[in-house]
Amino acid sequence: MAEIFRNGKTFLWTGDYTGQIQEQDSGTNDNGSAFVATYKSPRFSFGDPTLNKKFTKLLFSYENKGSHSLTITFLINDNAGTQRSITEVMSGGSGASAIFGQAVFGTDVFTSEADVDVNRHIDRLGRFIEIIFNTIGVDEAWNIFNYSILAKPLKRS
Amino acid sequence: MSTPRNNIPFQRVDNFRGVNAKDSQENLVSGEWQKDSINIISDPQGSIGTRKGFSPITTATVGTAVAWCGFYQFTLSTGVSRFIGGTSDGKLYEYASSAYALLKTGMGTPDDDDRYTFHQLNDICIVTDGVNKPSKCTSTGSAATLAGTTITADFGLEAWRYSWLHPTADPRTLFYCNTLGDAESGYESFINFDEDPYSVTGACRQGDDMIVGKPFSLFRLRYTGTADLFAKYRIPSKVGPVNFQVMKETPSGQVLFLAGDFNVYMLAGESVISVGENIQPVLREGKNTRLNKAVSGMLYDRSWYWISYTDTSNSTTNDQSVVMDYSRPYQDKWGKLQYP
Repeated sequence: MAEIFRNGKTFLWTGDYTGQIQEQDSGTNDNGSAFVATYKSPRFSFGDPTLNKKFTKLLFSYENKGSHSLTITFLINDNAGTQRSITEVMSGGSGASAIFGQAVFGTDVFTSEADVDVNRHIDRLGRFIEIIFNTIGVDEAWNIFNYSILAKPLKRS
Repeated sequence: MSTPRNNIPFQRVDNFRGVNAKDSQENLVSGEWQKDSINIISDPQGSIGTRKGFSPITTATVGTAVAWCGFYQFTLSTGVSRFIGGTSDGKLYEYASSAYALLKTGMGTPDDDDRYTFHQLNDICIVTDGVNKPSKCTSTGSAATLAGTTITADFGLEAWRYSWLHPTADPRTLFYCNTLGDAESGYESFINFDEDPYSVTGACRQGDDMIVGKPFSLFRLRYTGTADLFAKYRIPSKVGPVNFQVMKETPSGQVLFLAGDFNVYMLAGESVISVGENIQPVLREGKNTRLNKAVSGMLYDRSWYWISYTDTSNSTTNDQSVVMDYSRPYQDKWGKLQYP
């Protein structure tokens, strides 16, 4: 690895095992190849892991990164049998629509609530939940600003 | 009385922090993520997303089965840079005009695990390969053997206008060139680090000092300008770097290094602080016997300290990297300092 300073900017160059030098932190793929990008959340029990809940919705906010899909997986009670996935196209999200003050009437649209917080149903029952964000394809970048999980308490089993 | 419905607040997660690979799931706070997460970065603005990729600086290659084992930007006094690197087949190349030009052969073992180090004094770049006497590159042309009475060294660095070499024959010492500013004046003077039986594993500048590391100790070397030229003292610590390549000075003057306990430490002034406990289990799950083959680099515009190491048990290459953002300290749930 070498720290490089060229044209006023710093770079990290790394050598590989196929005779090439790679510039890191460049582009959205690894020299043309895809890489798996996975975020796995902590286990959320909402303060009481003994209480059953209904996980109703996921609200999240993300950056517009293109027309590919982000896979969102829910895992309940650490039980792989409960695992369910939905997808969300990354071309929506924050920045997809013009904001007031910059819009041209008749051309642009006002920012909708959905551009800030996307609202998806979870509808799973359990004591705790984990969220997994994942992509596996080439150039499938994503950036999540925040997310919220909504839950209703049920009873202790 | 029954529990009122709709009484659980939203679980909102933002201000993402870092990976936490400590002992159990319950020890993660909401801003952290599980160690199964991969190829994601947290942004200082409070988001999490895919890391960027990498791209070759040129489509040219020095051989599809050849590994690069060290690379260096050799900046001349004219301001012109030469980009020089060593390879696993024992060759030294220069990168220029989107191509690699051969400068020297017969270096290294040769092997993927060869490590070339580079440092410069005036317009001479000194190259060590751990096997041969040091080589040199000057302002133009091919590489040659360094002149003067030299020693075989596995790493070298510049400090106070002296060239320093770590000899393979006497690894508890550091030799420095005889004459200030002249890397070819011979290497006959040395500083001894024989307080314990362990070899010197690495060295790094910290401001105007040099930090010298052994597996279980750190030393600070200072230039006095009089006899004795250098003053050495022990930094209170019982830890040191696994090798020369993992010691890096940050822009704000701390020294980061990976130690033999799979942890990352930060030397801030005289304080040695453990800062990698959140990632330590990940490194420990790698191929332990190759920890001393790890290499590191700094990506300054992102404040990243980058460690490449061997993860897969049957691998003989560095096949995984972990990255630490040294600009964003945070406290874990026990109040310990960590970095994303």
